[in-house]
Amino acid sequence: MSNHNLSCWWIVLLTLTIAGCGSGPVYHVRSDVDFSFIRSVAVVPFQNLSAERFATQRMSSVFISELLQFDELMVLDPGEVLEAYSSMRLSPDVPLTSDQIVALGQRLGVDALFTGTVEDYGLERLGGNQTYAVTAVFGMSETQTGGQIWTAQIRHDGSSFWQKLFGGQPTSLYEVSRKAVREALGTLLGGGGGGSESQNSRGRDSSASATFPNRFITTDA
Amino acid sequence: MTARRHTSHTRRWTRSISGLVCACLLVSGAAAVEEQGTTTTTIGLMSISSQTQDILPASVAEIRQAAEASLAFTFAARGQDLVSPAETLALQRRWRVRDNLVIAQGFLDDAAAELNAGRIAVVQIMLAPNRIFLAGRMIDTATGLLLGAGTVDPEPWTPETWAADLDMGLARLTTALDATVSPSRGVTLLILPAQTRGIARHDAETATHTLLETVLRADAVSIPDPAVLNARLIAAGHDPRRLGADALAELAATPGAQFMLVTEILSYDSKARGGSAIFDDGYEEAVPMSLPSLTYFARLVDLSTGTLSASAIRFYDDQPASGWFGFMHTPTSREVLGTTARELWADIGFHTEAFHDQATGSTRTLGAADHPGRSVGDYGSFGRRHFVRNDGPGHGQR
Repeated sequence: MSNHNLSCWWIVLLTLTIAGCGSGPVYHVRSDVDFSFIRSVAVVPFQNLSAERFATQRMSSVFISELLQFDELMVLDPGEVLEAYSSMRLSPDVPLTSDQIVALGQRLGVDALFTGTVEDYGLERLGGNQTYAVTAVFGMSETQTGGQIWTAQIRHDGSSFWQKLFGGQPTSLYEVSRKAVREALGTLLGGGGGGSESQNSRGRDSSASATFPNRFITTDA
Repeated sequence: MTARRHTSHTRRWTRSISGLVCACLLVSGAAAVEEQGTTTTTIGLMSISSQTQDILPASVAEIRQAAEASLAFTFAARGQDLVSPAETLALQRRWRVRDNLVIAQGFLDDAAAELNAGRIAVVQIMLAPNRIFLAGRMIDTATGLLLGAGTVDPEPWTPETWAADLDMGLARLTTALDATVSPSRGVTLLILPAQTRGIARHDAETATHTLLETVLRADAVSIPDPAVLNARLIAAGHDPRRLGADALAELAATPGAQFMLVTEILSYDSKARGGSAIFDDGYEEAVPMSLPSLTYFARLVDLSTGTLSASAIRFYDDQPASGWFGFMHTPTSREVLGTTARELWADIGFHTEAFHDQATGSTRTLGAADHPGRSVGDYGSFGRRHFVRNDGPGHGQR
C-alpha cells in the first residue's frame, strides 16, 4: 500500500473517530440501594432554569412518555402530583427537601419520585450552524428516607457530523429533548445511555449498573 | 375595474354553489329524519368566542341572533323541533351555564323534564381573522352521554357574506352531529377537554372536538359529555386540570368507567405572538394565530389506581410539506389535530383486547414490537402502549 493511500485511510479513521465522539450523560447510581423494591413512581414538576417558559412542561411530557417505554414501573398520573403540590403548597421552582420528598411520597403512595431541572433549552449557534440544544439534570429519590438514589446530567444537541459538514435542517427541539431523556433514563433503566456504559458515559458507579443491568426487575420476576 | 368585476363574479358563483350545497345538506338531513320516523326536541346551546374584537364582521349580539336563526332554520328544514332561545336562556341562567365546557347535570335533567328535550346541541362559534371556526357536540339528556361530536373546516368570511358563510358552516356542522350513535355502546371512557398551552382558543376547542369525534367514530365506546364531567368535578371542589385521588374516586363512580383519557397540547413556538382571546377570562396569554409546532400528548389513566395505563405522544412540525411537483401544502388546524388524534388513538390501542384482558385481571405486557412508532408526513411519531403489571394480589391498588 502506498504512503498516499495509507494517509487517506488515517484521515478517514480520524474523521470517523471525531464524528463518533460525543458527550454522554454524567450519572451516579447508589450502589447500596435495592431497586427491586421500587414499583410505583411519580414524576414531580421540573425546575426551569432556562429562558423558555414552556421548557419544563415539554420536557415532563417527553420524560413520562419515555419512562413508560420501560415496563418496569407504575407511573402515577401527573395530574395527581400537581394536586398534591398544590395542596402541600410546594413550588416547582424550589428543589424538594428530604422531608418534603417523604411527605409527598406518603401522600401519593409511591416508592420513588423522579425530579428534573432544565438548565438550558433552545436554539444555539455552533459555528455557522444553528442547532437546538438541551441540558438537563434528572434525579430519583426514594420516599422512605428522601435520599437521592440516581442522578444524571445530560446535554444533547441536534448537530451531527454530517450536518456540520453539509448543512441541512436542524433536528427539532422535540427530537433533541427525546434523545436527551432517553439517554439519561438509559443510565438507570437500560444498558446505560444508549451505548456501552464504560465507553459512553462517565458514571462514578459503573460497577453497580453492571451488577443491575435492569435494576427494577426482581430476581424471581 | 375588470379585475374587481371578475372577483365579484367569482364570489357570486361561490355563494351560489355554497347555497346549493347547503340546501342539499338540509334535504338529506330531512330525509334521514323521515327514515327514522321520530323527531326529538333539541336544545341549541350556543357560545361565541373571538380572538380579536376589532375585526368582527358585526356586533356579537348580531352574530348570535343570526346564528340562532340559522340553527332554527336548519333544524326546521330537517323536520326537528328546536327549543326557542328564550326558553333555553331561562334554563341557562338557572344553572349558570356560561361555558360550553361546563354544563351542570341539573341543566340536562331540567331540559328533559321541563322542556321535554331529548338532546342538547352544543355549538361553539369561534371567530378568527377572516375565518369562522365551528365545533359542536350532541348530548343525550337522559344519560348525559355523547351522541355525536364534530368540527367543520373554517369558513372564510367577508364583511358582506359573513351571515351566509355562517349558515353554510352551521348546516355542515349539524349534519356532522346528526351522524348519531347509540348512547350506550359498551365500555365507558371518560375524556376531559384538552389541556393546552400556547395555542389559540379555537385550536384548543378543535382539538377537544376532533378527539371526541375520533373516539366516537373509531370504537364502541360510551363517552359521558366532557362538559358534564367538568361541572361535576368543579361542583365537588376539584380542579379538572389537577385531579387528585379524591377526584379520581369521584370519576370512578361513573357507571362502567374504568379509564380516563387526558390530552395535553404544548406549543413549541418560542416566539408566541398575536392577540389574546377577549371572551374568556382564563385565556390571557398571547398565542400565535395559526397552529404552531406542537406536541400532542395523550395518557390513559386507570381510575382505580391513578396510574398511567398507556400513553402516546406526537410531534407536529409546522413547516409546510412539499408535495408532488413542488406544490406546498399547509394543512388546516382541523386536519392536523384530527389526524394526530386518530394516530394517538391508534397508538394507545384502547380497542385492543389487551385492555379487556387487563380489566379481567389477566397479566399481559405488550412490547415495542407490538406497536412500533411510525412516521407519517410531518409527524415525528412515537407511540407506546404500556400495561401495568399485575404481579400480585392487590398490587397497584390503594
